[in-house]
Amino acid sequence: MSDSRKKILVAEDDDFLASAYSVKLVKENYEVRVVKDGEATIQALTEFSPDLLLLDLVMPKKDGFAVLQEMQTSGLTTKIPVLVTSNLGQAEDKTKALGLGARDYIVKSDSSLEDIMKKVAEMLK
Amino acid sequence: MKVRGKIYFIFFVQFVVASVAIGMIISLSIFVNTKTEIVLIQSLTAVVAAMIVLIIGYVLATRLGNSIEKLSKDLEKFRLAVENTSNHIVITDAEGTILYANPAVEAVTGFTISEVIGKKVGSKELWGGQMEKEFYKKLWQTVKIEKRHFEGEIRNKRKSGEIYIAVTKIDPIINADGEVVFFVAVERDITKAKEVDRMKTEFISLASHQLRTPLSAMKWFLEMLLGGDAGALNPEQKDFVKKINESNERMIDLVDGLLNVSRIESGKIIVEPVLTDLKELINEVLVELESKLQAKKQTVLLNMGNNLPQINLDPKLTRSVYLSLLTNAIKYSRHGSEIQLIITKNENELISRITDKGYGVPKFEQKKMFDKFFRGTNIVQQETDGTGLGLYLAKMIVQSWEGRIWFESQENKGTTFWFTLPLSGVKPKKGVVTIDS
Repeated sequence: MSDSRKKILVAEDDDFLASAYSVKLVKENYEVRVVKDGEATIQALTEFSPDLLLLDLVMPKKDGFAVLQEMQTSGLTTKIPVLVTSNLGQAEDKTKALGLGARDYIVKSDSSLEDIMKKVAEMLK
Repeated sequence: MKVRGKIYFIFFVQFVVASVAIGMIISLSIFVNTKTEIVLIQSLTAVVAAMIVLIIGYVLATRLGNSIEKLSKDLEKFRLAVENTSNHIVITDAEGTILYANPAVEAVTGFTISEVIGKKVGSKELWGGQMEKEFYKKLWQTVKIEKRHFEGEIRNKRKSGEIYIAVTKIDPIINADGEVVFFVAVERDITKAKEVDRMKTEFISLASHQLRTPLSAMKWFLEMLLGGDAGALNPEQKDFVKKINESNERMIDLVDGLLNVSRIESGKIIVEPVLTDLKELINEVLVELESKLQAKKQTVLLNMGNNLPQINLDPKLTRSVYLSLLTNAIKYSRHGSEIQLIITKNENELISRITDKGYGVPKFEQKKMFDKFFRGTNIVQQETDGTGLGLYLAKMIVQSWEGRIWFESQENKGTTFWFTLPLSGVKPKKGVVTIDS
């Protein structure tokens, strides 16, 4: 029987946040893979081929902006919706991320997990 | 000493003139064969007159000498100040040819004084020519044609080739005929200050990320605990977790507040005015505050008049001022009390007045009202929750659009705040940071 669950790739270098995402997303019946840096994110985009990417911006090796840049160049941002979840709250960061093809932008400390789950569900419709 | 010598010389000349005058009177008297008594009286009068002249002369000469000496001392002080200031000072003729350069010019630009004298200021041969042509055109138009003070940030190049940033202030010196005779240019190297500024902005961004990350993790796990994701909590557990959650939310507010302070203090706040319907903005703020109002069973009496004009203002900044003042009014007044928000108009301003019938602030603490981290001693006993940053930020924001903010408060009677918005609209300000609300 094939797994019909939607696949979410979580790019988050903070263990605690990554674990919170995993717990909640699995409970919401998604298939989840967590990666902890930009390079692993790029790799997992093809290997795991997610239906949605939850992307942190400040990450080791390659930051979230660089990931978005690469995805935009290869045309992936049109195929895989990206929800940026960052604690960079500046309008400049938000504009930059959206300009690089991110679908939406959430400041983590201002949002509840419930809000993020709703956004995810909406974006997967 | 030179000055004293000149004074004694004048004194000597006066003495000679007076002596000659006495001699002439005596000789003339003998010549016309006047009586001896008359000659004596005449001579005595002449001597007294000569002495008076001498005394007056001496006093005047000494005074003149003192003032000349004072002036020369002042000039010396002035010279020392100009020579020793770290500001780069250049005096040019009306064509911009350098006539004088102080030692700071050498320290800042790397060019020696002898290398710069006689050259054109602002040329590529020296430290200038690094800006767009338009900049220099505007500069010369201001100081030479309009004969006004010019001030601006300028990019220059040291002799070593290194680019530096300076604030330049140029004043034309005008003679009695209204012609420019000199230009005085004072420059301050702000390259280091700029770097510190950039680091501060970077710090804000970094701190924002680093401090918020663990707070977000707590927020989410607490949310899951409360939501029953790890099984149902008994009432006491639920109460404890709720308290932890509230504390965490306070910490998030504090971090946001501190970041906003840091951003505002860096002076780099972006002010983006757009034509705004104030009525709508205030209604949105009230909707946001509804749960807090309901929790304390308070009401807001709103009076905005009928013809509130649409004005250009930064909605985010304006919203945060209303939010801050209204949140305080709710927080620091009793259950069931009424809060008033009244907007009136004068010739140039819209005045918002927010009145509560709350705890007020004791008179002796009122001068600290807008200080960073200030919380009234009576308030701390009533409400532990609060950062002491709201009013400080509100004042900084109102000042960012050149508005005014003030208050009146009476302990146990209540507080009224007023702040103004210019009817002509808020001026846009380019910056690098925004505030979080």
